[in-house]
Amino acid sequence: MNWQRVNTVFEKEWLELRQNRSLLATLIIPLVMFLIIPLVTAFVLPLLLGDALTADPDIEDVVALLMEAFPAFANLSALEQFQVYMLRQFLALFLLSPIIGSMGIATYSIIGEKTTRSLEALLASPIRTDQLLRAKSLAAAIPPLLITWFMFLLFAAIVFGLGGINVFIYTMDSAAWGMMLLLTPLVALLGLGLGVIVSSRANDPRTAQQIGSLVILPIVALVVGQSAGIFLLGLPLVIIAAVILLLIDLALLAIGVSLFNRESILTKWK
Amino acid sequence: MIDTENLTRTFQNHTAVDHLTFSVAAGELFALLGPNGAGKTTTTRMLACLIAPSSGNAKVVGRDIRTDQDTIRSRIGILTETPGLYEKLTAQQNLIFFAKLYSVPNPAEQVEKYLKLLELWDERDKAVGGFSKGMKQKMAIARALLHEPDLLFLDEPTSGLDPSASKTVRDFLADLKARGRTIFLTTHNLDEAERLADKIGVLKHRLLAVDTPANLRRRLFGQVVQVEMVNGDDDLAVWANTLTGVSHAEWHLNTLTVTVEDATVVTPRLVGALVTAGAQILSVTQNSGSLEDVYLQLVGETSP
Repeated sequence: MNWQRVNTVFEKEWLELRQNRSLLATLIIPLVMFLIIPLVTAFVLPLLLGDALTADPDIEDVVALLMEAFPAFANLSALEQFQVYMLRQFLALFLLSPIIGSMGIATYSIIGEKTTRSLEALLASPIRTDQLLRAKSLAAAIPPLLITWFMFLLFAAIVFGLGGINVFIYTMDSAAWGMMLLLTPLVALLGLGLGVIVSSRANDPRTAQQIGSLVILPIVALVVGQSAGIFLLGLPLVIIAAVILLLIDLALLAIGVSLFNRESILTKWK
Repeated sequence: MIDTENLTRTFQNHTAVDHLTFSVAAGELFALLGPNGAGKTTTTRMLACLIAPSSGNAKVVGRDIRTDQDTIRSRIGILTETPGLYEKLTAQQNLIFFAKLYSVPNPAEQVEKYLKLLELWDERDKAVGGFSKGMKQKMAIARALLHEPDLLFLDEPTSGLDPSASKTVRDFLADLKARGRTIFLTTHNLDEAERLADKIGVLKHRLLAVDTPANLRRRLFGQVVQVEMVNGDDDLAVWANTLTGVSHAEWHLNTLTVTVEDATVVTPRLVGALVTAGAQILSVTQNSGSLEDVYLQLVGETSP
């Protein structure tokens, strides 16, 4: 494997990404929202609304689930329990960013090359298609992953700073870290695989993203299901989700690799 | 430098290129002429190892296009149908990227050399999205040359350019040819092919003819000798038609027009016989059909 060529394409992709402000904005703005919304909901709303918030029956259902999972959770104050409830609801939203980000970058990158007709010159160079796909995959997956992890660490630090040790322990438990370390790379790969497949057919990045946006529905279902008290996101659920995602990713990447060869790109891609 | 043998490419039920056999020697500029959809780009793509042939084979820079694709790609340069540049990157960033992909030893120096050669050095820090068509085409030519390839493929290099930009590109190609580069050019610009090419192939799915421009004209139309005289009449044409080596003769407006197989043999005999017969000759000129005539005859013959 000639990593020099992979690095060269990766550097070029990174250079183009830095100059694409709208794409950068779609990467960063959702994450800033996912950071601000839970923090405001957990730490600012109680100051404004007082006890009315903690008496909500939906919250009681989730608190009951948390007590079942962590008996010591009962020792927390009502405010702390509310804060943990709120913060945990939004954790799964951090999964949206790598999926949207990697798919966005992959589709802009591949469809961009299709519309400017630059792929043929690239394919005529000595780079092999597996090297090209690897470089584009790394360039599409790494920036959203790094930004997501950075924002998540910032989120953890703020939770610790504003909520104290009790809120931090029950919010940032093994499920939260497992989700960050296991699920975020896998959802980034999911977005990437879908991006490559959709890009082979679509000629407009927005069309590709609209088709691909359907994939965020399971994550939204995860957030809704948890906030409704249907289940609690624990480490076993994270591991099961990781295994399922891994299988889906492998299938998608196999399809992506089969589509991403010189012959197909030049003669079949529309 | 290029040797093809029955190179064929089909797409589903359509044969784009049918049993193509020709060769291009080192230092030669070979022009492949043909109408739109004749298979020129498909041929270029097969030879540049971008798509595989359905049957037949070819050697490019001495390597097999089926088995030595990586080596071939590293030793050829290609100017694709469209410049295909990264519009948000600057001229320098675009070329440095490709120089690194081709593992050019000193990318910055090589990029500077070609940007200066193509008079784009002053524009090096500007995004190529703002460049004119001609400038983009020059960028694409620079990109194809950065790694000093043994063989250069140029697919319609002046297509869509204004006359001034076309001339700049053509002059640059003539300069490359003079420096001994082997060039494979596809075009439907007959004038360009005639001015630049050592050898021309006329393609319409099949290779209809391949030869030097002069030989193509001679083969298809023979050569025409025109003798302008003070005196004479239709009988001269009747007489000329009886001469050996003359395929056709006619008299019109004091000029005897004779189509011959080999002007170097027939012209002295013809002129000698006319003078002996008392003809008062004003001028003798020799010409043959234009490349356009050759092309239209060949392509027209195969039209549906």
